[in-house]
Amino acid sequence: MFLGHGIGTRSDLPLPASLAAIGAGTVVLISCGALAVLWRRPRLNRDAGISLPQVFIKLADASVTRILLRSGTLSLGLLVCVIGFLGPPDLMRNLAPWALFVTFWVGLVPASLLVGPVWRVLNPLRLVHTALTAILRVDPEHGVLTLPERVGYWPASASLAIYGWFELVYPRHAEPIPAALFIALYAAVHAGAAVIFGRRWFERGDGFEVYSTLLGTLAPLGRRHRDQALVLRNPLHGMEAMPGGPGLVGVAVALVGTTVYDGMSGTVWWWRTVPPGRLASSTGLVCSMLVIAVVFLLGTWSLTTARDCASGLGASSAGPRPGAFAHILVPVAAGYALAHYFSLLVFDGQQALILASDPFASGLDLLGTAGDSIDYSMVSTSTIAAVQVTAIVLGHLVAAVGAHDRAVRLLPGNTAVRQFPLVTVMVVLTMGAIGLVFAA
Amino acid sequence: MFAAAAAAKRIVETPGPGIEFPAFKEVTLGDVKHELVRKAG
Repeated sequence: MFLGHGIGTRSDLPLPASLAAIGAGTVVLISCGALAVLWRRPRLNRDAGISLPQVFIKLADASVTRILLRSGTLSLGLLVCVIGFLGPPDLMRNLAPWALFVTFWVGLVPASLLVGPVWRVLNPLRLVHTALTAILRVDPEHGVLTLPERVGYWPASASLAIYGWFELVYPRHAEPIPAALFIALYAAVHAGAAVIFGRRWFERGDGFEVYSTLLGTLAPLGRRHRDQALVLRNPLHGMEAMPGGPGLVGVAVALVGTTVYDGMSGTVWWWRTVPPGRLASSTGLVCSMLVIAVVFLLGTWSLTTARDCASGLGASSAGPRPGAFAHILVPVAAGYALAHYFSLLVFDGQQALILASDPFASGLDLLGTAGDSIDYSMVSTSTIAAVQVTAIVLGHLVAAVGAHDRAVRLLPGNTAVRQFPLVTVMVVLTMGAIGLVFAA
Repeated sequence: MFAAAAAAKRIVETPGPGIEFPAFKEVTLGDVKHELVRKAG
């Protein structure tokens, strides 16, 4: 998307950045053309996949496994909070901001894309919720109030937007105490909401778990829809297994919009044009999300105004709702996030390991890394550039496949013309993203 | 993001180094270091 944190410049690419942008746009365009010609019936299947051995499935699904894993993340989360509140007061010596913004938030992307919805398995708030409902004698499944179906993913969307605001706008976000306070407040709000609305809250309201779950559908390891068995599958099939519902567009827009804002707010143009301060930054963040929402609605407009569509998957006799195509924003968001944060995870992730070795700056060296400094030679700038280009192009290609398959599933006849606006949006976004990452 | 982005902004906006970037490129600390090394020859 617009820009990455990569340390690459145009010299990192083996060809001029403008040619790279045109090349990437052409790849997406040709791929969409090939889809229109060769992909005439739905091929993605949420029941596809090869079952893993039973022993592996039983181990993964065992409640003792989950309790142990969640106990581990709960302990780590508590430790990070304590370090944030009581550890060294400055960013460069305190683990809490690094653990939250780099290890957790950025690390969640590759972890979910590789092994599925990891945060659903590791989410320590699920363990806290179980304990709280036992103490309060509340039904853990249903809570005390029913969450209306129409609420859908909107709480998760709001949750992610608030996190985005804290990370990118709130001026003291990088200080240890605000970072620890955010973790504590987030935990209290979502554990409390889950007590009230039942365990389902985590699937609909906990932004981090929803983020991981959505990204996890693109992993080669997934759940087969019909029996929920763990399977190995072509990640493209995962898009059909993506959970739908009201507010999914909001979640995807919040994810892509915050990444756009993160990139734009790091440009010289932004620094010199937009006045500093919370109001201007907040406006910028909201505008970034609105732009993404408008682009998405424009791209899918001709698909969602079709009147003669099949039913199901968010479609009705009035035409597919925009939510029927919301899943295509997930691979786009994943591609943007990888391009944007790859170098941050590789380099600043080392800082988290260094600080974890001596969390209270008391002279400990628990991991043997206390005296280390960040190794900037670990990954070359050329590799970073290659990862950025690949992530952006792949994200848009997967999105195009998902959109095309959904279109031929829902709409009869030749859908190529109806997909033209979406293809245009994909090509322009791909070219714009690469052009801006490398300053074409 | 947080630490590196703030440091990059500080260096670019401080008069002296004389390094420039295209207006619509996100500037990272790595970009700044590259440019400083390049200017130093």
